[in-house]
Amino acid sequence: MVFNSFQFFGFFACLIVLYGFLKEKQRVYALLAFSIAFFLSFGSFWALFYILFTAASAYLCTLGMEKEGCSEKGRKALLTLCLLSNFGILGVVKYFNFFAGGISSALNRNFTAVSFIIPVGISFYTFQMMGYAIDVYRKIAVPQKNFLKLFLFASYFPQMIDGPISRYNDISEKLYHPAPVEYERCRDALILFAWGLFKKICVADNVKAFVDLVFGDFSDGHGIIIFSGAVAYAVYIYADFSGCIDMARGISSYFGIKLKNNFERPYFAASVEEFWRKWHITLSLWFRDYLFYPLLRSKGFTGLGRILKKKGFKKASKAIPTIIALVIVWLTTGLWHGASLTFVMWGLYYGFFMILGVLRDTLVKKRSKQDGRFLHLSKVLLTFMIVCLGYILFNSASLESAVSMYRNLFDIKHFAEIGRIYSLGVCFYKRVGGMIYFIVTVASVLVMSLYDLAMELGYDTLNWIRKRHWIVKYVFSVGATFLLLFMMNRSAGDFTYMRF
Amino acid sequence: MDRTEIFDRLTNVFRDVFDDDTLEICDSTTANDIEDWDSLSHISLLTSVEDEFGVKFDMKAVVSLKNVGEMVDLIEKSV
Repeated sequence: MVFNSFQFFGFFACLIVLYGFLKEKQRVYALLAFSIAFFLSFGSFWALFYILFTAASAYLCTLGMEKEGCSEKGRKALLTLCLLSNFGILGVVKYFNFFAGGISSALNRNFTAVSFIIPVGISFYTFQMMGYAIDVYRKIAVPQKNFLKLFLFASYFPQMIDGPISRYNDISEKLYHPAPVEYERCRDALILFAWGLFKKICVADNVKAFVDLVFGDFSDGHGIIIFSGAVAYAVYIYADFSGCIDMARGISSYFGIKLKNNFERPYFAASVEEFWRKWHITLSLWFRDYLFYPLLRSKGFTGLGRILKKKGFKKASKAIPTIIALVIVWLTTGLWHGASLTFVMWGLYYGFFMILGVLRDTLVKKRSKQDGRFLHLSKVLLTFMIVCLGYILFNSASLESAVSMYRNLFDIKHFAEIGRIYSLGVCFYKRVGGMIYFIVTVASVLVMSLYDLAMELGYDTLNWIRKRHWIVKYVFSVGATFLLLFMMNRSAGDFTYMRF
Repeated sequence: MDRTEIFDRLTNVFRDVFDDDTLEICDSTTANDIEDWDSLSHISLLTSVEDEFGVKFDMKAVVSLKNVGEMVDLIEKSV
């Protein structure tokens, strides 16, 4: 059951009612029981064995590493076994058909895709648990001796759908000592949940109708049509993903467990590097700490740097290993999102821009002056264009359709097909459900955008509302509740990042 | 080697890596205080520090160092 469903509301209501009567130790096990129930609500009972295996292998591996007499070689071997088995399972269930299909195609052989049971959140919980195992190996984290507590870390239900990918040290203290109900914290938690729900059901689910039209019936459109689809996708994916994360953070905050925010107003970034410091933050940090840094610190990469430095290429000794590592990281990032060439190319698309950044920093002396307002705004718009162009790849069913859309986008002759643009507008108006829903969609996009703009400029809108007269707050709360219930009636859309 | 000497030499390393002769660091300096200190330059910085002091940072240090003060503590322990 997804967060934006009446079933989940009932589930959460039962949990918070029970939670209020429990002592601290009991609260931990209540969270575990409800997490298992939440996990099972998504599919087959057998999927539970996947997450049990991941938790059990991490549990045994980390306890083994800390056993007295376990040598450094032994610790490494245990970690390697744990990583290979878990990433192996992830690789098989997510990528077997992609790679086997590709090889069969290259060899001109027939291939029948294998159907696997794919548990919800496998990409998220596998990365989270392998991060835990690596942190224990690095002696950053102390292994958890209670298996049920470790299983709670693996299966904690607010994170199950779309993350965020937590670090064990960041949340374990609060996870194993969930806070008692306290009015202000719980009120703020529900407000955050409601904000995420608003983004999901008022923005994302409605804007998706426009995106589906452009990438479907209007995919042979040109110029403005394709461009508007790309921008709409940017709005949709942000509202969908950040909406889910806000709901997850709100739910978790109710229990006093603070989850990391995955988004810091990414569309206001002035460079691609900055965008990836503000978008899907926990995934970027995971790849940085568990892939990028280990690659650069490995014997191969440091050796390469040393050789280049000896030959007199001081700048290249830093730049070239970094560039190679970036290609590997961005290839993996693309693959993480899915078993498809479009995702691989999307990952390499960003790898290309990151590499341009490295070359720029290597070859061009940095300006000491801060950017003026106009230059900063231009950089923000340019970055947003790059991101939107990338979404065409991200959302296309195949490389061929993506290439076709790019070709059509830059078809200057047919850039503004007024008739088709009007048709698109009418189709969207009908598809979204008529006048009321069209107004709700436009207004919601504006509210979400203006809220983020206000935050970016340093105005805390929520705090401003809190300081108004109680009648204003009451009307606002009642209005928001009615809007959400009204929109909930027609929406139980899944989250895009669930499929990863 | 005392802490002051470590700081002096470390300041030179920071100035060289970030190409800024006016850069000043202190115990509480973090990556947020130096614009160019990001994940791409972090490894270059640590490698340069290792070369300067003849020390080796393990992966725990690479990912967990919170500020320059902790870096200096590690260097002090290792030299």
